[in-house]
Amino acid sequence: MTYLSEPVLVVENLSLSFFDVNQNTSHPVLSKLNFDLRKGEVLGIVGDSGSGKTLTALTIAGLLPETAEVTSGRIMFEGKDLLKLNAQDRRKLLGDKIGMIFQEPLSSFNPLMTIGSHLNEVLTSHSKPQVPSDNADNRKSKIIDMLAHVGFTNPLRIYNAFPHQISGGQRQRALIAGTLLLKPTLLIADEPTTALDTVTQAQIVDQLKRISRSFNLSVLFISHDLMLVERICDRVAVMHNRRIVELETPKDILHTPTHPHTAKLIRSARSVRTPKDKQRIDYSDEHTPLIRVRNLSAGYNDSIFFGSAHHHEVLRDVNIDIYSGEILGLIGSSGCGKTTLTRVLTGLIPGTAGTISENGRLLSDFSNKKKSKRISVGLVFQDPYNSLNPTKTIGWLLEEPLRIHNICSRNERKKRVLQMLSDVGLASKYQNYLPHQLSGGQRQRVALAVSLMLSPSLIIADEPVSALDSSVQAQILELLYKINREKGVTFLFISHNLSVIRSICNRVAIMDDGKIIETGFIDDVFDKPRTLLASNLVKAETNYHPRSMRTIDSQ
Amino acid sequence: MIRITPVPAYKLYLTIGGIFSSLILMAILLSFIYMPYDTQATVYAAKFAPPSTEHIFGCDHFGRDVFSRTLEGARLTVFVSVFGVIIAMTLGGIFGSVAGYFGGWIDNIVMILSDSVMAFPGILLALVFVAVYGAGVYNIIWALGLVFFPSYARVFRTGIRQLKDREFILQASIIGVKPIRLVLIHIFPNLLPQLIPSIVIGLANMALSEAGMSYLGLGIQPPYASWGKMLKDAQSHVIEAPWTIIFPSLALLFYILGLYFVSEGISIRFGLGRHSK
Amino acid sequence: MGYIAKKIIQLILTLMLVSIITFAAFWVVPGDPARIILGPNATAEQVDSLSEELGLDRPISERYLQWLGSALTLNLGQSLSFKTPVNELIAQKLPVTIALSVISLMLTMAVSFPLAMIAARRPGKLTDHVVSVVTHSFFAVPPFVLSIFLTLIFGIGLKWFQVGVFIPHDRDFWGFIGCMIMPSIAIALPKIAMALKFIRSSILSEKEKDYVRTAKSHGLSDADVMRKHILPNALVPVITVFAIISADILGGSLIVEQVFGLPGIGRLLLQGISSRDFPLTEGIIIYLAGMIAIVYFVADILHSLIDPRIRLK
Repeated sequence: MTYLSEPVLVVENLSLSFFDVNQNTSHPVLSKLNFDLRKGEVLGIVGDSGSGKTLTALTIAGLLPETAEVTSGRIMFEGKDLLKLNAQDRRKLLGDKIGMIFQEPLSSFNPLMTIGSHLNEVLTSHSKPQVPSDNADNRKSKIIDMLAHVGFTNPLRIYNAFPHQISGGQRQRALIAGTLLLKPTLLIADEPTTALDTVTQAQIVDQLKRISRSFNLSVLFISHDLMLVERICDRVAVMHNRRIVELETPKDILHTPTHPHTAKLIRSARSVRTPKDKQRIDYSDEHTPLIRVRNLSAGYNDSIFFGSAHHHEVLRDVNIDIYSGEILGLIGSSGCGKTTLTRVLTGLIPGTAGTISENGRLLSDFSNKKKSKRISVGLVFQDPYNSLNPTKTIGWLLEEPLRIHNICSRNERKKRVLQMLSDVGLASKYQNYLPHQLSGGQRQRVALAVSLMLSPSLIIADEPVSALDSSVQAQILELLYKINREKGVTFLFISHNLSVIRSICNRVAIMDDGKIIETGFIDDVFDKPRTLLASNLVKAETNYHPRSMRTIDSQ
Repeated sequence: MIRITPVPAYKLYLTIGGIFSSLILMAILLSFIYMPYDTQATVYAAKFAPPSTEHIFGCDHFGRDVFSRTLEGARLTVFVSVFGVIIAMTLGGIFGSVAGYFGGWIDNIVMILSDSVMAFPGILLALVFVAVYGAGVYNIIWALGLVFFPSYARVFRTGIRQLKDREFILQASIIGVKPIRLVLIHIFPNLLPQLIPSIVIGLANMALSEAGMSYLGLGIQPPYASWGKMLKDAQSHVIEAPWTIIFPSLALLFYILGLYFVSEGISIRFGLGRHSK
Repeated sequence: MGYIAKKIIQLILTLMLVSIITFAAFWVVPGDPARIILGPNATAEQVDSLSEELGLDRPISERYLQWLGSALTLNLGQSLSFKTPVNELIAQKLPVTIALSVISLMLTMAVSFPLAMIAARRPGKLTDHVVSVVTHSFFAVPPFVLSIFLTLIFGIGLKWFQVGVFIPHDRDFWGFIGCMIMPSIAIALPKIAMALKFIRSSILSEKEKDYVRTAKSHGLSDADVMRKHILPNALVPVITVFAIISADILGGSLIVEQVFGLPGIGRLLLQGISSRDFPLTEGIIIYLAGMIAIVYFVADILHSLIDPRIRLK
């Protein structure tokens, strides 16, 4: 139906360049973009970071930095060329006809102002003096109505709250409410759900779709996640290297991709989501697990500045078994205690009660206050930009574990470093590189290599792929899987992405509010979740990654 | 759009600052090779002699050669500021690292102490020190070192606190790096971008304080020539002998301005403090 | 615990700490304080009698508590060289120092804010560079050198003011203020440079925050974005900087008073130090310290009023 409606936005031959003041050169960032957006349509733009998708949005909104220059093309919006409008006319369109929402919902609000006064500003900056009903009371009730419309049950509380007092999902919804206040015809959504957890993501996406229908709103939806775009959009544009390489319905894109990069995106998305054949491991009760955690509690002490130390219990009575050679998935919403659990397991913080045993030997008994031994464990972090010391070369970093434990001679160390580099798929020349000279995927390989250096029995991977582009994600997962198979390394794999978990884990544990609430084989938990939280998570995930994808998977 | 600065701003700052401060360093080198006159020799006949080939900066009210005295002032100022910074850095490094690494009540105590000290103008505290222990070069160095160490403690402490929870430091402690090696080998190199500008600024601030104290007569004591003291003496003869005031103040300005520019250049280069891409 | 209550406790703690440090600096010294005060040429009888006068024979904690007790009632003891109560001496000189500091602070604010906004409007452009370089140069000039040159140019050269003349405030108030103008400029110029640099970079960093983009996407004009969003946020860290500047100004005024021959606290402090008048020096230090601690306290309170993240945790 949307195909017949008239176009709201037509972008023709749009090119954009950045000017580098320091080098006195300009380099192109968008090349000859052509696309249109029809009334009530949701158009997705997907691409890796740096492909130019966000810049496209900013160009349409007229919010480019000063160093950017449009070198060709036009942007027709409701019959006018946006690029030819003067600054004031442009500004009038923003908020009124064109709304925008962004990725990072906390920093999108001025921290000094309440949500209510932000939304008020939208109305007052476009106030029409001839309308007599435009007064403070009316504005407030209008805003409260809109907040209720985007699903707030207590809109007045949100109205009076400061940004830091509400959650990320709430802020994103408040932002959506703000853009809808003036009933725009075009909404630009730039990675609106990337910073949110899965359940909230699903809610926001559904909300956007509903709103698009009920307001007959055209939406330009920008994301790096092909599957997410596929779920909400009527058509999808794939961007690669500053260009739109493909613009089709999601179905056509997924079934008959014409551009190699699209095919690559789909392949990697699919390989993430194609369950691998799992190793057969004996999980019977008689079999001793590699790591057994019993009744573990842990937490933090608040400031002890004025005496009253307040203890925050984050983990409560955690029981978990990790079997040798398996990949155990751990999921749970943000703040449920996953990170604290990794800190206790790695020995970075002590627990307050409970025991940890390795291969049946008791290592730590926290209730006993006796000095506990650490299990031999490696940790791979989410953000590869933070997990490598920027002042050291890759070779130095890989050598450090051997060096400090005096494991072998200097020459032997060098040899092991080279071996490890090739094990994680990196050429030996990288040992002389500094971390900033490597791509995100390469850094994550190095991070994995560092934790493998001491041959630990367990590696904890804390969201190891969620900061990477989807094509790189698949490669890193492949590597983890390979290391698990070939070296027999056991993994505790933490992720909020259930399809990633499903593709490589044998078993999964679900965590909520400091407790493990459900553990079991992947298919059991996903198909017959026993707890409400688990079923919510699974529901959000299946909404988010729709049927059409599965049919392809099963082909 | 007009686009100027084909040269990156930091290079500009580093060049200007480098020229200024190297002038002072060259003067010091010169003073070791060739010192034209005895800085304390009073020659009545040369009283207020204007700049000439004999006395290129002229002479003061005791007929002492201003050029030689300016060179001696440079030596003393650089000596005081360098050793003052070394004391401040060492103390600050120890206290700051301990506070930052261990956190908790140690951190609270160190921070309350250093906040209280930092709250007061440096010169006021240095004056208290001098009031009790007396003036003189070594007392000045200790006074400045003690007065300025909390700001270094803060740089170390903040840096370590920020880095301590960064993934790569957690990673290092998971593989078993011990605290001392962690701080010295893994953390310190990452603090250099913050530390270097604060060292350079510290040199300038100590030189400023020393000059101020000597001006008040509570710094370096006669007969040694210090720029601050020279200015104080020259102030009452400004009409008869402007050269006695111009050259020491230029020397002071070159030293301080040079250091400020160098520090600014480094900060911009590492993207600290100021905002530029 | 409320934020303000916490800050009040912190203020009291700081003041206590300052009093301990100050007291210890003067009286817990290697050697006999009375001997240090009187110098090496004094006789044993003189030292003994001063020790008695100062009560040095009593235990240190008792002396501290007694000193603290009387300091709380603003009684800072008797000056040794003037033979008058310290607080009377301070009260006489304080108006000069306060006036000098307040005028300097107002000058700093009045000049730095507009200049910073101009410099931040187009970062990296000509005006920004000119403003930056000029301010950096002033940043580095010690106030007393500036004072000397101001006296030289405007006092002796142009004769805009009379060098070395001071008019007390109770004789001619505006004349008194007039005497303060040049010294205030000498104190303020480096501080203007410092404030300007900081405000400029604070504005520039706020300018790049995401909420600015949101405000623009809501259709606000650039002027409104600056006035309603960027400036209030940029002000948050600037408040702390102005507290530091106020303390610096107070410190700088001690020296500048000397150059212009103003009879303020600075001169009194110098007299105290050079005549080894410990009670006087100690009294002045604790007085200034108290004032600075209160300035920081006020800055903290202002901070919490502007920023809800501090107020409503």
